[in-house]
Amino acid sequence: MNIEKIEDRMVLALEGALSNSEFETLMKVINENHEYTLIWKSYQEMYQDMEDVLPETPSSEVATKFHEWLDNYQEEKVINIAQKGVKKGPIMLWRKWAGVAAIFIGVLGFWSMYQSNRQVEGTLADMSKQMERLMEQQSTSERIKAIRVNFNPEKGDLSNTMIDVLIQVLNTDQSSNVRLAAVETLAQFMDKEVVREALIKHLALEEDGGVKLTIITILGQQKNEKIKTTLENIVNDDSQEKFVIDEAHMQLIRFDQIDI
Amino acid sequence: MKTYIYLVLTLALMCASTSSMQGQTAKKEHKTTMSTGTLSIIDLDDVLVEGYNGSEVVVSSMVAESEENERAKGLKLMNAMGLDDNTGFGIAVYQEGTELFVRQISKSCSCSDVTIQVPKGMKINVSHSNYNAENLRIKNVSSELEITTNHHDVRLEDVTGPMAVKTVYGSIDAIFTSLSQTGSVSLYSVYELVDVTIPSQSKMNVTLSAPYGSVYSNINVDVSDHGNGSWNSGTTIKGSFNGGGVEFSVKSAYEDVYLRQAN
Repeated sequence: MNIEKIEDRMVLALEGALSNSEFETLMKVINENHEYTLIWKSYQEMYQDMEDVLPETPSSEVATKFHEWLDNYQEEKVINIAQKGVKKGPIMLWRKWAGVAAIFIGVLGFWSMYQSNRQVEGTLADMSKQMERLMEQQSTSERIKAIRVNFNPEKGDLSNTMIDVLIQVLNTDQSSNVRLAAVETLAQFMDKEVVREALIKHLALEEDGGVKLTIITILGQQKNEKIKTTLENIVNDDSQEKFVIDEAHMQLIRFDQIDI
Repeated sequence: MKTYIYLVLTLALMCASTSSMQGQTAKKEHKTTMSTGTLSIIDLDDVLVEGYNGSEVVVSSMVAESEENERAKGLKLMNAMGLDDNTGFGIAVYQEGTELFVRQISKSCSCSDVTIQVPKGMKINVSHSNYNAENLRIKNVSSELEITTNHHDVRLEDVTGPMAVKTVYGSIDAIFTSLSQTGSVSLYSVYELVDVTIPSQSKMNVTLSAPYGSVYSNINVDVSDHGNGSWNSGTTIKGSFNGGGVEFSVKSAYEDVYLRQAN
Protein backbone atom coordinates (compact mmCIF):
# COMPACT_ATOMS: atom_id res chain seq x y z
CA MET A 1 0.00 0.00 0.00
CA ASN A 2 1.52 3.36 -0.94
CA ILE A 3 1.52 6.41 1.31
CA GLU A 4 -1.44 8.08 -0.43
CA LYS A 5 -3.64 5.02 0.13
CA ILE A 6 -2.52 4.85 3.74
CA GLU A 7 -3.45 8.52 4.20
CA ASP A 8 -6.89 7.90 2.62
CA ARG A 9 -7.43 5.05 5.07
CA MET A 10 -6.36 7.29 7.96
CA VAL A 11 -8.98 9.89 7.00
CA LEU A 12 -11.66 7.17 6.77
CA ALA A 13 -10.58 5.84 10.16
CA LEU A 14 -10.87 9.27 11.76
CA GLU A 15 -14.32 9.72 10.24
CA GLY A 16 -15.35 6.36 11.68
CA ALA A 17 -15.94 4.84 8.26
CA LEU A 18 -13.75 1.76 8.78
CA SER A 19 -14.85 -1.55 10.22
CA ASN A 20 -13.07 -2.84 13.33
CA SER A 21 -10.95 -5.29 11.35
CA GLU A 22 -10.02 -2.63 8.78
CA PHE A 23 -9.12 -0.25 11.58
CA GLU A 24 -6.93 -2.86 13.30
CA THR A 25 -5.14 -3.67 10.04
CA LEU A 26 -4.47 0.03 9.49
CA MET A 27 -3.17 0.47 13.03
CA LYS A 28 -0.78 -2.43 12.50
CA VAL A 29 0.60 -0.85 9.32
CA ILE A 30 0.94 2.54 11.05
CA ASN A 31 2.69 1.14 14.11
CA GLU A 32 5.24 -0.65 11.97
CA ASN A 33 6.31 2.51 10.19
CA HIS A 34 7.75 5.57 11.92
CA GLU A 35 6.77 7.94 9.12
CA TYR A 36 3.19 6.63 9.03
CA THR A 37 3.02 7.06 12.80
CA LEU A 38 3.98 10.74 12.46
CA ILE A 39 1.43 11.29 9.69
CA TRP A 40 -1.27 9.52 11.74
CA LYS A 41 -0.52 11.76 14.73
CA SER A 42 -0.71 14.91 12.61
CA TYR A 43 -4.09 13.78 11.20
CA GLN A 44 -5.34 13.04 14.70
CA GLU A 45 -4.25 16.50 15.88
CA MET A 46 -5.91 18.14 12.88
CA TYR A 47 -9.21 16.36 13.55
CA GLN A 48 -8.96 17.21 17.24
CA ASP A 49 -8.45 20.89 16.34
CA MET A 50 -11.52 20.75 14.11
CA GLU A 51 -13.58 19.25 16.92
CA ASP A 52 -12.33 21.85 19.35
CA VAL A 53 -13.83 24.73 17.33
CA LEU A 54 -16.69 26.14 19.42
CA PRO A 55 -20.19 25.69 17.92
CA GLU A 56 -21.40 28.95 16.40
CA THR A 57 -24.71 29.08 18.35
CA PRO A 58 -25.89 32.46 19.63
CA SER A 59 -26.52 32.69 23.36
CA SER A 60 -30.09 32.18 24.60
CA GLU A 61 -30.30 35.88 25.51
CA VAL A 62 -29.34 36.96 21.98
CA ALA A 63 -31.78 34.42 20.50
CA THR A 64 -34.66 35.60 22.72
CA LYS A 65 -34.03 39.26 21.87
CA PHE A 66 -33.83 38.43 18.19
CA HIS A 67 -37.19 36.60 18.32
CA GLU A 68 -38.80 39.45 20.27
CA TRP A 69 -37.53 41.96 17.73
CA LEU A 70 -38.74 39.74 14.91
CA ASP A 71 -42.24 39.51 16.43
CA ASN A 72 -42.44 43.30 16.88
CA TYR A 73 -41.14 43.84 13.38
CA GLN A 74 -43.82 41.54 11.98
CA GLU A 75 -46.62 43.33 13.90
CA GLU A 76 -45.44 46.77 12.72
CA LYS A 77 -45.34 45.63 9.13
CA VAL A 78 -48.82 44.15 9.30
CA ILE A 79 -50.13 47.46 10.63
CA ASN A 80 -48.25 49.53 8.05
CA ILE A 81 -49.44 47.48 5.15
CA ALA A 82 -53.03 47.62 6.39
CA GLN A 83 -52.81 51.41 6.65
CA LYS A 84 -51.74 51.74 3.04
CA GLY A 85 -54.65 49.62 1.94
CA VAL A 86 -52.51 46.94 0.49
CA LYS A 87 -53.93 43.49 0.63
CA LYS A 88 -53.08 42.02 3.98
CA GLY A 89 -51.25 38.74 3.75
CA PRO A 90 -48.39 36.78 5.27
CA ILE A 91 -46.25 36.37 2.08
CA MET A 92 -44.41 39.73 2.16
CA LEU A 93 -43.75 39.34 5.87
CA TRP A 94 -42.41 35.87 5.38
CA ARG A 95 -40.01 37.19 2.69
CA LYS A 96 -38.75 39.93 4.97
CA TRP A 97 -38.29 37.47 7.79
CA ALA A 98 -36.41 35.10 5.45
CA GLY A 99 -34.21 37.98 4.28
CA VAL A 100 -33.25 38.89 7.80
CA ALA A 101 -32.57 35.25 8.60
CA ALA A 102 -30.42 34.96 5.47
CA ILE A 103 -28.37 38.00 6.53
CA PHE A 104 -28.04 36.52 10.00
CA ILE A 105 -26.89 33.19 8.59
CA GLY A 106 -24.49 34.97 6.24
CA VAL A 107 -22.94 36.89 9.12
CA LEU A 108 -22.60 33.67 11.07
CA GLY A 109 -21.00 32.00 8.03
CA PHE A 110 -18.44 34.77 7.64
CA TRP A 111 -17.71 34.70 11.35
CA SER A 112 -17.25 30.94 11.19
CA MET A 113 -14.87 31.27 8.21
CA TYR A 114 -12.93 33.96 10.03
CA GLN A 115 -12.61 31.73 13.10
CA SER A 116 -11.56 28.80 10.94
CA ASN A 117 -8.89 30.88 9.16
CA ARG A 118 -7.62 32.11 12.48
CA GLN A 119 -7.43 28.50 13.62
CA VAL A 120 -5.43 27.46 10.51
CA GLU A 121 -3.12 30.44 10.92
CA GLY A 122 -2.70 29.52 14.56
CA THR A 123 -1.87 25.92 13.66
CA LEU A 124 0.73 27.06 11.08
CA ALA A 125 2.25 29.43 13.61
CA ASP A 126 2.36 26.60 16.14
CA MET A 127 4.06 24.35 13.58
CA SER A 128 6.72 26.93 12.79
CA LYS A 129 7.28 27.57 16.51
CA GLN A 130 7.57 23.82 17.06
CA MET A 131 10.07 23.67 14.19
CA GLU A 132 12.08 26.53 15.69
CA ARG A 133 12.22 24.61 18.96
CA LEU A 134 13.38 21.48 17.15
CA MET A 135 16.13 23.46 15.47
CA GLU A 136 17.42 24.60 18.85
CA GLN A 137 18.42 21.03 19.74
CA GLN A 138 22.12 20.51 20.38
CA SER A 139 22.35 17.34 18.35
CA THR A 140 23.29 17.90 14.70
CA SER A 141 21.70 14.66 13.55
CA GLU A 142 18.44 15.55 15.35
CA ARG A 143 18.33 18.92 13.58
CA ILE A 144 18.93 17.24 10.23
CA LYS A 145 16.16 14.77 11.04
CA ALA A 146 13.80 17.65 11.89
CA ILE A 147 14.47 19.15 8.46
CA ARG A 148 14.07 15.90 6.55
CA VAL A 149 10.85 14.87 8.31
CA ASN A 150 9.07 18.25 8.55
CA PHE A 151 9.98 19.65 5.14
CA ASN A 152 8.98 16.73 2.98
CA PRO A 153 7.49 18.13 -0.27
CA GLU A 154 5.67 14.82 -0.80
CA LYS A 155 3.37 15.89 2.04
CA GLY A 156 2.26 19.00 0.17
CA ASP A 157 3.32 22.60 -0.26
CA LEU A 158 4.88 24.42 2.67
CA SER A 159 3.60 27.62 4.21
CA ASN A 160 5.71 30.76 3.83
CA THR A 161 6.28 30.75 7.58
CA MET A 162 7.86 27.30 7.42
CA ILE A 163 10.01 28.36 4.45
CA ASP A 164 11.17 31.35 6.51
CA VAL A 165 12.17 29.01 9.34
CA LEU A 166 14.25 26.95 6.94
CA ILE A 167 15.94 30.05 5.49
CA GLN A 168 16.70 31.14 9.06
CA VAL A 169 18.34 27.74 9.67
CA LEU A 170 20.43 28.17 6.52
CA ASN A 171 21.63 31.58 7.64
CA THR A 172 22.34 30.82 11.29
CA ASP A 173 23.02 27.14 12.02
CA GLN A 174 26.61 26.51 13.08
CA SER A 175 26.82 23.05 11.53
CA SER A 176 27.62 22.94 7.82
CA ASN A 177 25.94 19.52 7.67
CA VAL A 178 22.67 21.07 8.90
CA ARG A 179 23.02 23.99 6.47
CA LEU A 180 23.59 21.47 3.67
CA ALA A 181 20.38 19.65 4.61
CA ALA A 182 18.57 23.02 4.57
CA VAL A 183 19.94 23.84 1.11
CA GLU A 184 18.97 20.44 -0.30
CA THR A 185 15.46 20.83 1.09
CA LEU A 186 15.05 24.43 -0.12
CA ALA A 187 16.11 23.20 -3.57
CA GLN A 188 12.75 21.46 -3.78
CA PHE A 189 10.94 24.81 -3.54
CA MET A 190 12.87 26.71 -6.20
CA ASP A 191 9.62 27.87 -7.79
CA LYS A 192 9.35 30.34 -4.87
CA GLU A 193 11.09 33.68 -5.45
CA VAL A 194 11.90 33.98 -1.74
CA VAL A 195 13.88 30.71 -1.85
CA ARG A 196 15.91 31.71 -4.94
CA GLU A 197 16.70 35.09 -3.38
CA ALA A 198 17.71 33.49 -0.07
CA LEU A 199 20.12 31.06 -1.76
CA ILE A 200 21.74 33.80 -3.84
CA LYS A 201 22.19 36.00 -0.76
CA HIS A 202 23.50 33.13 1.35
CA LEU A 203 26.11 32.19 -1.24
CA ALA A 204 28.06 35.36 -0.43
CA LEU A 205 28.05 34.54 3.29
CA GLU A 206 28.65 30.78 3.28
CA GLU A 207 32.10 29.66 4.41
CA ASP A 208 31.86 25.93 3.85
CA GLY A 209 33.01 24.80 0.39
CA GLY A 210 30.69 21.79 0.26
CA VAL A 211 27.60 23.89 1.00
CA LYS A 212 28.66 26.58 -1.51
CA LEU A 213 29.16 23.93 -4.16
CA THR A 214 25.68 22.52 -3.61
CA ILE A 215 24.06 25.98 -3.80
CA ILE A 216 25.88 26.74 -7.04
CA THR A 217 24.77 23.44 -8.58
CA ILE A 218 21.15 24.10 -7.58
CA LEU A 219 21.17 27.71 -8.81
CA GLY A 220 22.82 26.60 -12.06
CA GLN A 221 19.73 24.56 -12.85
CA GLN A 222 17.58 27.72 -12.87
CA LYS A 223 17.06 29.89 -15.91
CA ASN A 224 17.59 33.26 -14.31
CA GLU A 225 19.78 36.21 -15.39
CA LYS A 226 20.40 37.29 -11.77
CA ILE A 227 21.86 33.87 -10.98
CA LYS A 228 24.15 34.14 -13.99
CA THR A 229 25.59 37.38 -12.60
CA THR A 230 26.14 35.73 -9.21
CA LEU A 231 28.00 32.84 -10.84
CA GLU A 232 30.16 35.26 -12.87
CA ASN A 233 31.10 37.07 -9.65
CA ILE A 234 32.22 33.79 -8.09
CA VAL A 235 34.32 32.85 -11.13
CA ASN A 236 36.10 36.22 -10.89
CA ASP A 237 36.66 35.99 -7.12
CA ASP A 238 40.16 34.64 -6.40
CA SER A 239 39.40 34.18 -2.71
CA GLN A 240 37.01 31.31 -3.47
CA GLU A 241 38.21 27.70 -3.30
CA LYS A 242 39.27 26.28 -6.66
CA PHE A 243 36.53 23.66 -6.70
CA VAL A 244 33.91 26.35 -6.03
CA ILE A 245 35.19 28.44 -8.95
CA ASP A 246 35.29 25.34 -11.18
CA GLU A 247 31.68 24.47 -10.34
CA ALA A 248 30.49 28.05 -10.98
CA HIS A 249 32.34 27.98 -14.29
CA MET A 250 30.74 24.69 -15.24
CA GLN A 251 27.27 26.03 -14.45
CA LEU A 252 27.99 29.16 -16.52
CA ILE A 253 28.85 26.95 -19.48
CA ARG A 254 25.47 25.26 -18.96
CA PHE A 255 23.84 28.70 -18.91
CA ASP A 256 25.38 29.61 -22.24
CA GLN A 257 24.01 26.42 -23.74
CA ILE A 258 20.41 27.24 -22.83
CA ASP A 259 18.29 30.20 -23.73
CA ILE A 260 17.44 32.41 -20.80
CA MET B 1 78.14 -20.85 -1.96
CA LYS B 2 80.20 -17.65 -2.03
CA THR B 3 77.53 -15.93 -4.06
CA TYR B 4 74.92 -16.99 -1.51
CA ILE B 5 76.99 -15.62 1.39
CA TYR B 6 77.55 -12.31 -0.44
CA LEU B 7 73.81 -12.07 -1.07
CA VAL B 8 72.93 -12.65 2.58
CA LEU B 9 75.55 -10.15 3.76
CA THR B 10 74.34 -7.53 1.28
CA LEU B 11 70.75 -7.94 2.44
CA ALA B 12 71.78 -7.70 6.09
CA LEU B 13 73.77 -4.54 5.34
CA MET B 14 70.82 -2.97 3.51
CA CYS B 15 68.47 -3.70 6.41
CA ALA B 16 70.90 -2.23 8.93
CA SER B 17 71.38 0.87 6.79
CA THR B 18 67.61 1.43 6.36
CA SER B 19 67.07 0.98 10.07
CA SER B 20 69.74 3.52 10.97
CA MET B 21 68.37 6.01 8.39
CA GLN B 22 64.93 5.83 9.96
CA GLY B 23 66.24 6.01 13.49
CA GLN B 24 64.31 4.66 16.42
CA THR B 25 60.67 5.44 16.80
CA ALA B 26 59.04 6.05 20.13
CA LYS B 27 55.37 6.22 21.06
CA LYS B 28 54.35 9.50 22.65
CA GLU B 29 50.95 10.02 24.20
CA HIS B 30 48.87 12.68 25.92
CA LYS B 31 45.99 11.81 28.26
CA THR B 32 43.05 13.92 29.42
CA THR B 33 40.57 12.61 31.96
CA MET B 34 37.16 13.11 30.37
CA SER B 35 34.34 10.72 29.49
CA THR B 36 31.42 12.97 28.52
CA GLY B 37 31.02 16.11 26.42
CA THR B 38 32.38 16.66 22.95
CA LEU B 39 35.73 15.84 21.38
CA SER B 40 36.54 18.30 18.59
CA ILE B 41 39.32 17.16 16.27
CA ILE B 42 40.53 20.01 14.08
CA ASP B 43 42.86 19.93 11.07
CA LEU B 44 44.48 16.56 11.76
CA ASP B 45 45.80 15.34 8.41
CA ASP B 46 45.93 11.62 9.11
CA VAL B 47 44.24 10.09 12.13
CA LEU B 48 42.52 7.03 13.58
CA VAL B 49 39.78 7.78 16.12
CA GLU B 50 38.76 4.78 18.15
CA GLY B 51 35.99 4.40 20.72
CA TYR B 52 36.80 2.43 23.88
CA ASN B 53 35.45 1.74 27.37
CA GLY B 54 37.62 4.13 29.32
CA SER B 55 37.56 7.49 31.05
CA GLU B 56 40.46 9.27 29.34
CA VAL B 57 40.97 10.76 25.91
CA VAL B 58 44.34 9.41 24.79
CA VAL B 59 46.12 11.06 21.88
CA SER B 60 49.18 9.13 20.76
CA SER B 61 51.68 9.12 17.91
CA MET B 62 54.76 7.22 16.81
CA VAL B 63 57.56 9.77 16.53
CA ALA B 64 60.82 8.91 14.76
CA GLU B 65 63.98 10.32 16.32
CA SER B 66 65.07 11.55 12.90
CA GLU B 67 61.91 13.67 12.71
CA GLU B 68 62.67 15.46 15.96
CA ASN B 69 64.14 18.92 15.57
CA GLU B 70 67.45 19.00 17.52
CA ARG B 71 67.56 22.77 17.44
CA ALA B 72 64.05 23.01 18.96
CA LYS B 73 64.88 20.82 21.96
CA GLY B 74 63.60 22.45 25.15
CA LEU B 75 61.31 24.74 23.12
CA LYS B 76 57.62 24.40 22.27
CA LEU B 77 56.07 24.65 18.85
CA MET B 78 53.57 27.51 18.72
CA ASN B 79 51.04 28.73 16.19
CA ALA B 80 49.26 31.96 15.29
CA MET B 81 46.36 31.12 17.59
CA GLY B 82 48.77 31.11 20.52
CA LEU B 83 48.42 27.36 21.00
CA ASP B 84 51.32 25.27 22.31
CA ASP B 85 52.39 21.83 21.23
CA ASN B 86 51.65 20.17 24.55
CA THR B 87 51.84 16.63 23.17
CA GLY B 88 55.37 16.76 21.81
CA PHE B 89 54.33 15.81 18.27
CA GLY B 90 52.79 18.98 16.83
CA ILE B 91 49.31 18.66 18.28
CA ALA B 92 47.66 20.86 20.90
CA VAL B 93 45.14 19.36 23.29
CA TYR B 94 43.08 21.81 25.33
CA GLN B 95 39.74 21.92 27.08
CA GLU B 96 37.03 24.59 27.04
CA GLY B 97 34.05 23.74 29.25
CA THR B 98 32.68 20.35 28.23
CA GLU B 99 34.56 20.38 24.92
CA LEU B 100 38.03 18.92 24.41
CA PHE B 101 39.94 20.19 21.38
CA VAL B 102 42.65 18.23 19.59
CA ARG B 103 44.20 20.49 16.98
CA GLN B 104 47.19 20.05 14.68
CA ILE B 105 49.06 23.32 15.04
CA SER B 106 51.63 23.12 12.29
CA LYS B 107 51.88 21.93 8.70
CA SER B 108 55.17 20.22 9.53
CA CYS B 109 53.68 17.97 12.18
CA SER B 110 56.21 15.37 13.34
CA CYS B 111 53.35 13.02 14.03
CA SER B 112 52.57 9.81 12.24
CA ASP B 113 50.07 7.07 13.01
CA VAL B 114 48.14 9.46 15.22
CA THR B 115 45.53 7.58 17.21
CA ILE B 116 42.90 9.10 19.45
CA GLN B 117 41.15 6.80 21.89
CA VAL B 118 37.80 8.23 22.93
CA PRO B 119 35.54 7.10 25.78
CA LYS B 120 32.31 5.77 24.30
CA GLY B 121 30.01 8.41 25.82
CA MET B 122 31.66 11.35 24.06
CA LYS B 123 30.33 13.05 20.95
CA ILE B 124 32.91 13.40 18.19
CA ASN B 125 33.24 16.36 15.89
CA VAL B 126 35.92 16.32 13.14
CA SER B 127 36.65 19.28 10.89
CA HIS B 128 39.43 19.82 8.36
CA SER B 129 39.76 22.34 5.57
CA ASN B 130 43.30 22.39 4.15
CA TYR B 131 44.85 20.43 1.28
CA ASN B 132 47.10 18.12 3.33
CA ALA B 133 44.44 15.61 4.32
CA GLU B 134 45.08 11.91 3.89
CA ASN B 135 43.01 9.36 5.79
CA LEU B 136 40.42 9.76 8.46
CA ARG B 137 39.44 6.48 10.16
CA ILE B 138 36.73 6.25 12.76
CA LYS B 139 36.36 2.92 14.49
CA ASN B 140 34.04 1.42 17.09
CA VAL B 141 32.03 4.58 17.70
CA SER B 142 28.37 4.59 18.74
CA SER B 143 28.01 8.16 19.99
CA GLU B 144 27.02 11.08 17.77
CA LEU B 145 29.56 11.83 15.06
CA GLU B 146 29.93 14.87 12.82
CA ILE B 147 32.58 15.19 10.11
CA THR B 148 33.19 18.15 7.81
CA THR B 149 36.23 17.85 5.57
CA ASN B 150 37.30 18.85 2.09
CA HIS B 151 40.03 16.35 1.21
CA HIS B 152 39.95 13.35 3.57
CA ASP B 153 39.04 9.87 2.49
CA VAL B 154 36.73 8.87 5.33
CA ARG B 155 36.56 5.29 6.54
CA LEU B 156 34.03 4.38 9.22
CA GLU B 157 34.28 0.93 10.80
CA ASP B 158 31.97 -0.65 13.35
CA VAL B 159 29.81 2.45 13.71
CA THR B 160 26.10 2.76 14.50
CA GLY B 161 25.15 6.42 13.95
CA PRO B 162 23.75 8.96 14.50
CA MET B 163 26.10 10.85 12.23
CA ALA B 164 26.50 13.58 9.64
CA VAL B 165 29.52 13.16 7.35
CA LYS B 166 30.50 15.45 4.49
CA THR B 167 33.65 15.45 2.34
CA VAL B 168 34.27 17.29 -0.92
CA TYR B 169 37.16 15.44 -2.61
CA GLY B 170 37.33 12.28 -0.51
CA SER B 171 35.41 9.02 -0.61
CA ILE B 172 33.34 7.60 2.23
CA ASP B 173 33.39 3.93 3.21
CA ALA B 174 31.13 3.04 6.10
CA ILE B 175 30.47 -0.27 7.80
CA PHE B 176 27.66 -0.25 10.34
CA THR B 177 27.51 -2.96 13.01
CA SER B 178 23.96 -1.90 13.89
CA LEU B 179 21.82 1.09 13.04
CA SER B 180 20.85 3.49 15.83
CA GLN B 181 17.28 4.79 15.61
CA THR B 182 18.31 8.07 17.25
CA GLY B 183 18.73 11.24 15.18
CA SER B 184 19.66 10.63 11.58
CA VAL B 185 22.46 9.37 9.34
CA SER B 186 23.77 11.53 6.53
CA LEU B 187 26.76 10.58 4.33
CA TYR B 188 27.72 12.96 1.52
CA SER B 189 30.67 13.16 -0.84
CA VAL B 190 30.78 15.65 -3.69
CA TYR B 191 33.40 14.19 -6.04
CA GLU B 192 34.00 10.65 -4.79
CA LEU B 193 32.03 7.47 -4.19
CA VAL B 194 30.14 6.55 -1.06
CA ASP B 195 30.08 2.86 -0.11
CA VAL B 196 27.92 1.80 2.84
CA THR B 197 27.35 -1.59 4.44
CA ILE B 198 24.45 -2.06 6.86
CA PRO B 199 23.15 -5.04 8.82
CA SER B 200 20.25 -6.80 7.07
CA GLN B 201 17.79 -6.05 9.92
CA SER B 202 18.34 -2.26 9.81
CA LYS B 203 15.15 -0.20 9.87
CA MET B 204 15.35 3.05 7.94
CA ASN B 205 13.75 5.61 5.68
CA VAL B 206 16.39 5.81 3.02
CA THR B 207 17.33 8.42 0.43
CA LEU B 208 20.01 7.37 -2.07
CA SER B 209 21.14 10.08 -4.42
CA ALA B 210 23.68 10.17 -7.27
CA PRO B 211 22.74 13.07 -9.59
CA TYR B 212 25.65 12.39 -11.97
CA GLY B 213 26.34 8.78 -11.04
CA SER B 214 24.55 5.53 -10.35
CA VAL B 215 23.18 3.78 -7.31
CA TYR B 216 24.05 0.12 -6.69
CA SER B 217 22.47 -1.94 -3.93
CA ASN B 218 21.47 -5.42 -2.87
CA ILE B 219 18.75 -4.31 -0.45
CA ASN B 220 15.06 -4.26 -1.29
CA VAL B 221 14.07 -0.64 -0.84
CA ASP B 222 10.30 -0.14 -0.76
CA VAL B 223 10.39 2.86 -3.10
CA SER B 224 7.94 5.64 -2.19
CA ASP B 225 8.90 8.24 -4.78
CA HIS B 226 9.27 6.87 -8.30
CA GLY B 227 10.36 10.22 -9.82
CA ASN B 228 9.85 10.68 -13.53
CA GLY B 229 11.69 7.48 -14.44
CA SER B 230 14.04 9.27 -16.80
CA TRP B 231 17.66 8.08 -16.72
CA ASN B 232 19.03 11.54 -17.50
CA SER B 233 17.30 13.20 -14.57
CA GLY B 234 19.88 11.69 -12.20
CA THR B 235 19.24 9.04 -9.65
CA THR B 236 17.46 9.75 -6.39
CA ILE B 237 15.73 6.87 -4.68
CA LYS B 238 13.47 7.43 -1.70
CA GLY B 239 11.87 4.65 0.24
CA SER B 240 11.94 2.51 3.31
CA PHE B 241 13.75 -0.64 4.34
CA ASN B 242 12.35 -3.15 6.83
CA GLY B 243 9.24 -1.00 7.29
CA GLY B 244 11.07 2.28 7.81
CA GLY B 245 12.91 3.82 10.73
CA VAL B 246 15.75 6.29 11.12
CA GLU B 247 16.30 8.92 8.38
CA PHE B 248 19.26 7.58 6.37
CA SER B 249 20.64 9.67 3.53
CA VAL B 250 23.53 8.70 1.21
CA LYS B 251 24.64 11.00 -1.58
CA SER B 252 27.48 11.37 -4.05
CA ALA B 253 27.07 14.37 -6.34
CA TYR B 254 29.40 13.22 -9.13
CA GLU B 255 30.19 9.56 -8.40
CA ASP B 256 28.39 6.34 -7.56
CA VAL B 257 26.63 5.26 -4.40
CA TYR B 258 26.86 1.69 -3.09
CA LEU B 259 24.56 0.37 -0.40
CA ARG B 260 25.06 -3.22 0.74
CA GLN B 261 23.53 -5.37 3.41
CA ALA B 262 25.99 -7.46 5.35
CA ASN B 263 25.74 -11.22 4.91
